[in-house]
Amino acid sequence: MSGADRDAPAVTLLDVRVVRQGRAVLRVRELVVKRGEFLGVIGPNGSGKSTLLAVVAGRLRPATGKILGAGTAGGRVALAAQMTALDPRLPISILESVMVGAYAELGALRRPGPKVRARARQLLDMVGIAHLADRPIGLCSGGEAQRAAIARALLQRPDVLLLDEPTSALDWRAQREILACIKDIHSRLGLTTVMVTHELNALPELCDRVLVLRAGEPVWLGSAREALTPQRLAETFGIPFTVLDHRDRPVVLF
Amino acid sequence: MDPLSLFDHAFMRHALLAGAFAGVCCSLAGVFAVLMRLSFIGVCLAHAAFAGGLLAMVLGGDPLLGSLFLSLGSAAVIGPMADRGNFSPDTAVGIVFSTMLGAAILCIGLLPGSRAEALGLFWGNILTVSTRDVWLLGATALTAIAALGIFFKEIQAVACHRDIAAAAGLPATAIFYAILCFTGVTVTACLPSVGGLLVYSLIINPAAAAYQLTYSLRRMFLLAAVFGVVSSEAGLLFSYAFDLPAGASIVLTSSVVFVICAAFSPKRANRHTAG
Repeated sequence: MSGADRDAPAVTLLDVRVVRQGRAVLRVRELVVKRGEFLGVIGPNGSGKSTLLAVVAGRLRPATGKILGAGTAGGRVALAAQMTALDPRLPISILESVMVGAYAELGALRRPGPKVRARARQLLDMVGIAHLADRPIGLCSGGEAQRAAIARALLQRPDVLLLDEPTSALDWRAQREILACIKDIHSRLGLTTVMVTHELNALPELCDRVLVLRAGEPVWLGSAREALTPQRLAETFGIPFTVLDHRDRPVVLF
Repeated sequence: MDPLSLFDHAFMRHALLAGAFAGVCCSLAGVFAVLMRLSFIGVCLAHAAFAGGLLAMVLGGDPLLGSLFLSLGSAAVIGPMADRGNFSPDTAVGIVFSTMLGAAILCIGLLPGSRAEALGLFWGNILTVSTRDVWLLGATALTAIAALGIFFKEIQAVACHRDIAAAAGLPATAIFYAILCFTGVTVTACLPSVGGLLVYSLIINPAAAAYQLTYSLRRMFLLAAVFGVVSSEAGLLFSYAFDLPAGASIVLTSSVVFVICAAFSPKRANRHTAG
């Protein structure tokens, strides 16, 4: 990807306002996500992070404003939603669950053939769970289910990948593995990636830029390193933070 | 008793056919109810169909059309209520259920003369099922099988994880509402034969039994249909052989099938090791 391509906008939000039960839950005057960049989105619970992703994914129609790029040719968006508890008896395998990602493109009357199956297996291999393809998805660990969600999103052949708290409810090891997997995918496929996360220490390694949301509004956008200052984090989350420098990287303590 | 003698009677041939068709369409609807955790929906739509039938009687219309109207109406209301309101689908089902129960009791109060026909809608009688009822059940079962064959991938995606299907760009809400409406049609079609009260068991038991045995949705649909048909036919045979009430015999057979499947479920071991 050339430098010019990289600076071109992948998604632009203009004067977007989302209203829920009479209350504005998201107000974005202008937000440009550059092509190929990795944008982290942080903020307290209820600050509009998941709403932002839902708007970009086209799952939520804003009351006013425009979203440019997303949903158009060259702006295909896929969302790996936040993990929810799955019934362990659910009659669907990991492979079948991942193949759901191809169904919208396939259309109503066409069955998923060997090509879709092969591509799904290839993506399961990319996220490191090809050996679990036939396991019922309800019997997966949280980390495995998250990898399946990422593979499902990738099967939609997106230009923009949205990740909603991919490390929530995971143990330390699974968190580290998922973040490494996400980094690997971003560098291999060069996808524009927007990730909502509470894992602040992952930001400098993964993100080109970080967007800070508070009470439904973007309050800061800049480099990951600059995002992680004690003052900015304290203003964002309303509690004191300590930020240490470890091997030339900021490490957040709280 | 000559086992083949039951085929000598036209009412028994009708009953066996109606039982087989009801077993198929109820159990297919049941798979959705079990997977989407809407197990109370059968009893809710049954009461809506019952109230619709009674309302038609009060107004001098065809009870079947009245049943279809209110059960479809209720199915069409439950989905949006659950999606747009601030409560779970189970709460939406509960609100519609109580409303329909109230409407049914009101209609019984307004009904002039004998209430035997009205109560027949509630209890059903598979032994007096008409040719029209058999045709209706057959058409519902065949339509369900055809829809399942054509839209299996969409049905699988939405029934197993609706949110994921929506995130993947499928019209998950429309498919969910269509499933609810199919359940409404199934309950209406079963009303004259199985009855509003017993249809609930025939929806839940075969599907819940199949759920115990497999991790494949295709197999779950197939097993549920087999269990539905076996419950209906075996229940009818027991009823014929031992002079038992047919509806109760069918439902109790389906309960026994569930208990056997739950006892020998291979998922029991996984439940202890999962997580």
